Amino acid sequence: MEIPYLVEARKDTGLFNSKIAIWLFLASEVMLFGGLFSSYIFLRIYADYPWPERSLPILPGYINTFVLIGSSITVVFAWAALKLRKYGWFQLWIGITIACAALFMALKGIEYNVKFNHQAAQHLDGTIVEGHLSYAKLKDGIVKYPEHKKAKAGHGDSHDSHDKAKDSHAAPSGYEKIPANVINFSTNELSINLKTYVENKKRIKFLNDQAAEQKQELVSVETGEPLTLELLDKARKDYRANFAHNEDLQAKWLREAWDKAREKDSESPNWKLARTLKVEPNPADPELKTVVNTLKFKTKSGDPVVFRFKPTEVREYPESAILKGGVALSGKLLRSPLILHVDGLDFRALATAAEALGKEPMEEIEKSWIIQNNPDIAKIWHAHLKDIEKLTKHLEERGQEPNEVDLYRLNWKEIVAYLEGTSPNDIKDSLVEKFKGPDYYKRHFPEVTLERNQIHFESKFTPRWNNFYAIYFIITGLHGLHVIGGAIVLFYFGFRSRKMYESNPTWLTNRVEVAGLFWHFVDLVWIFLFPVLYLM
Amino acid sequence: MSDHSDHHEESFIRKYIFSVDHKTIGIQYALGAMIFLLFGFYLMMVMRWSIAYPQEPLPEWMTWIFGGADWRASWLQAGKLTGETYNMFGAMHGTIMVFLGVVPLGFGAFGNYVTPLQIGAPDMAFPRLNMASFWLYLAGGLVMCLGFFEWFSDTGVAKSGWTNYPPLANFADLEAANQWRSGQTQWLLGLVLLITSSLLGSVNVITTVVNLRAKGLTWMKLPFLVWAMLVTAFLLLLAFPPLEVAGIMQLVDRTTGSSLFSPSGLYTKTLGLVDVAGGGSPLLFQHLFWFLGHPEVYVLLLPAIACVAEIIPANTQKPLWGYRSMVGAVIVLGFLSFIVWAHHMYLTGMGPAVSAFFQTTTVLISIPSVILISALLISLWGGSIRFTPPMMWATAFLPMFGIGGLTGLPLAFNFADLQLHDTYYVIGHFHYVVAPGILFGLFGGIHHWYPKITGRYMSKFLNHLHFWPSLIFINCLFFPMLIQGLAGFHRRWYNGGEAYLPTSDDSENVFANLVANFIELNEFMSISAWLLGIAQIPFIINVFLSIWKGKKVENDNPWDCTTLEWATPTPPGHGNFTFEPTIYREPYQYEPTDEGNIALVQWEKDEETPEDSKA
Repeated sequence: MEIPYLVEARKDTGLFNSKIAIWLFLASEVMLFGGLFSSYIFLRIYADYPWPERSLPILPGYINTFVLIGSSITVVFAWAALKLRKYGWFQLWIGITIACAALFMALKGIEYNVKFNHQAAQHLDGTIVEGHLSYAKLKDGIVKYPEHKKAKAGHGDSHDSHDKAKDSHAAPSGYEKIPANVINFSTNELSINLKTYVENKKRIKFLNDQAAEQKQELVSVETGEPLTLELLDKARKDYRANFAHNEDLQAKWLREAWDKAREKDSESPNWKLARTLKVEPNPADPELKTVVNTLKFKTKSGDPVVFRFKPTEVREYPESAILKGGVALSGKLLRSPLILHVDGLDFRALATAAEALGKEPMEEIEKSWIIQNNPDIAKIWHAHLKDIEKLTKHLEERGQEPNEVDLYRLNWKEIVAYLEGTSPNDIKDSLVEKFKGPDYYKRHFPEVTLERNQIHFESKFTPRWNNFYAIYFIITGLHGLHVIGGAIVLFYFGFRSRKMYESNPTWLTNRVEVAGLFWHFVDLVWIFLFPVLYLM
Repeated sequence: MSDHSDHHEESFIRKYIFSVDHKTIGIQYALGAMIFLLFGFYLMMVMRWSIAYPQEPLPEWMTWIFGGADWRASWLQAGKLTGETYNMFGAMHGTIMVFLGVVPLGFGAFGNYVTPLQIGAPDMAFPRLNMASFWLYLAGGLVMCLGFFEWFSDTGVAKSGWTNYPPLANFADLEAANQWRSGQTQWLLGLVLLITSSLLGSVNVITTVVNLRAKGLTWMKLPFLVWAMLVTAFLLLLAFPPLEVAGIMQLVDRTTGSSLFSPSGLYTKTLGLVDVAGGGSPLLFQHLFWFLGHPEVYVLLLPAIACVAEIIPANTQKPLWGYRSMVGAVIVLGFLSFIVWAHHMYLTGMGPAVSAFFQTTTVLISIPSVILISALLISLWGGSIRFTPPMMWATAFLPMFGIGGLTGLPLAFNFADLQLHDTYYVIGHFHYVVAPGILFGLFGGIHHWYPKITGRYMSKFLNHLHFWPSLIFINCLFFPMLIQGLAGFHRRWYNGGEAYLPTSDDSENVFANLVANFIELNEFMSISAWLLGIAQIPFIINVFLSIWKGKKVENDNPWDCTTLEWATPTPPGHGNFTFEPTIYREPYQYEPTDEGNIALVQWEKDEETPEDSKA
């Protein structure tokens, strides 16, 4: 049996099967990306926060546009070469196309990586501070360690981290190692709620990592057994078995009660009967087993141990902390400030809030915590205000006025310039900086210490930070998956096709044509993506 | 079984499990879908216990699913269904019935088995994609159901309704440490797999219909089923991607902590002030969901109507009345179904202008639906009706679907829907459409093509045992829902409204007294539901027993049909046809003679072509 029109086109439709299929597939893809772009519009129109316009690096996006357009051309050359039965040329063009795809993904990777290492935080008063987390400060005051470099170096010395961490509520100064963006919690008591505790070894590992290494084994209060995963498993099993036993028992009693009630009164409807029925079984019954809901642990010596968590994994209170998955700690929340080297300041949310209350935005910004408490930032802001005056005059001559971004947002060049006392126009970014943002080894940024209880919301520049980044990562991520998928298919057609080329070259040509159509679509999506996400 | 297969023997696994033959895949879809349907039915039976007897522990036979005592204890409370478990069952009942049951049965099974046969194709255009489509469907279905198994889940299955509305669905189970072990996240993963499966399936069906039609089979000679499948495939192709967008966005919300669907300042009981950026829109999800959701209704319906449209001409021995208007109606229906979605969202306060637009389109779409159902009804007129098993289901389909359709009209209007939204009236309405409507049509389809698939008829006696109780109990189950709904019973009361009963006999609470008046219907409906369950047993026996014990068919065209699938050997071998089929006639042509009407089959040339077939 053979499927017709696999290679040759059907006369009345003029199409071979896979050509119909690819157009249908692309129609479906149009709906997919159409849905995504519609979501983008919806989210942008209804955003109740300042939308981060033009906040992505344009140069890599710009290069990527040409890379993809170029690859769309080379894929056509590949197809044409195959039509002319020039297999070598075909492979060459396919190879170039795949290389373009690789370059595209590499640039995308750099862009993503920068985002993943860039921190932002919103102060309670609405000020948004962007920057890099600092791990350490050298004596001469120059900031040296961007977070991702330091994280590697920091691993080896967990031996003495306990002492340091214990002291971390002291003010950061000198050579102190300050773990950035973690919540420090000091406790000698830990309770595990077995009801909600989910069997998840990864989640409980912090105990082994930290408590055990610090020779401060947590010991169960009642039994004197140290806290191990085995103990937890056993406790959990016991809990579940006893709980299930009681449940079964209660179900049995309830059934018996219903049977009796029905015997007595078979007339009344079910819901009336339920009211006369004593549905609560006797809790003092000896058959019921004791169910321990919570296991409590305490350190052997009674000294507190410091635990650290990612802020997203724990809900912290001054006297207690609750982890996802049912582990609770009672103790003391230590000082866990977020120390940032500021490369972006945004007062737009603050200004909007002030305007809504009928106050003067500039006065409110002047009163904001960060300007009141950080002389560097105050200096930068006042320099910025002078420039704004000039800008306002300049624009007035043309009958325009500065927009919100001009007024309330400072980018890294402005910050660097005002701190140095120069003009932002004098700051020339290098080629690398055009791809990766400011160079933290070379440039000097003001340092801001945000206390945990001053932070309204903080995140890296991940989908979590705001919906612009969420939809940006989704659309570009899905587009990237399409690029990778297309490249794999092209590779297969280009370099695993010798046999097919020799036996049925028309079929192979059809395949490349169809893959090329898909490749053009992927290119087209990017041509929409680039202006929408990068330029608008 | 494969006496007509033209070449080498295939291994058992290639032939029956990882088969690329559209017929085997169709049967796989049918079996898979029916198992899921049965499971979804079971979930409903457990829920109905909680509605009827909220204070009474579940009977033993309902608790087998939970396996061991300790896993059971996390679902039940003193043997009773907890509200949370009820929500999980409700969500999974809807999901399973719609995505894993009816669509695969209608489009997957009949679309796969019958469509290529009716157009004279040797197979689908892309047999291997077809296989991938089935296995993705199965994988998606199983991933969605992982939460029922202790090994794969910490928090049970999805529990935010089959529509999975955020912000509820965004934050359900979010306290679980490992998101990949939560049913709510698994549901979204399963959904993405299912959408991929339906994408492959629909591309395949459209390509097959466009390019693999037999010689002479022009568009207006296509059997109605092919048209219906073509439109269904376009609906799946174009309506599903926005839901995929919604699914991916929710997945990102759940796993990375973004807030695409979470508004600012959201506060929940378990999480307090939710630690997300905010600024997202729950309404966006509803729009994306219902952009699929409404076309999905027609994805469910069209294959069933198609089955009925095949059964009726065969058993009245006369042409389908208004074939051309039916084809037109089904195409218009397909287009309109894309612009009615927001009638599911009147309660969100979209404003009168938007509501008015969607009211208008919703009322408009009833026109093609009425054309379809009227044409089928008129087709009965003057026919010599044989009440064969498929015909029984087809005739029952007409009034049952009629009730379902007509009860939908009040819901189309904004002002009436504000009252009826989320009540049992809505449940009654769409269950009338889906259960006694669509499922009856599909049961008819199973009986109709069973002789082609196996070479034997299904038992008439067992069909009587299946049909009559089903018809009675399904009405006993769903009609009281309409009554309760008008009385204001909310669709998500896990205890059947017990919490709203008057606290004393002389209570003056009007709503409480209303609830007391209608709450006893719960028991009646639940008992009907369980009896309906029992009524399905003869069908299950019938499907399997008839493979060996059924009456053998007399010839390759036992129902005297006119369409091409009956020109194949019984059962059709690999490659389907033993000759190269050529089409000479429109479908459903019958010639009256003294000995009754004679089928003028599409594949035979007739010198004296009847006048009405010229076109």
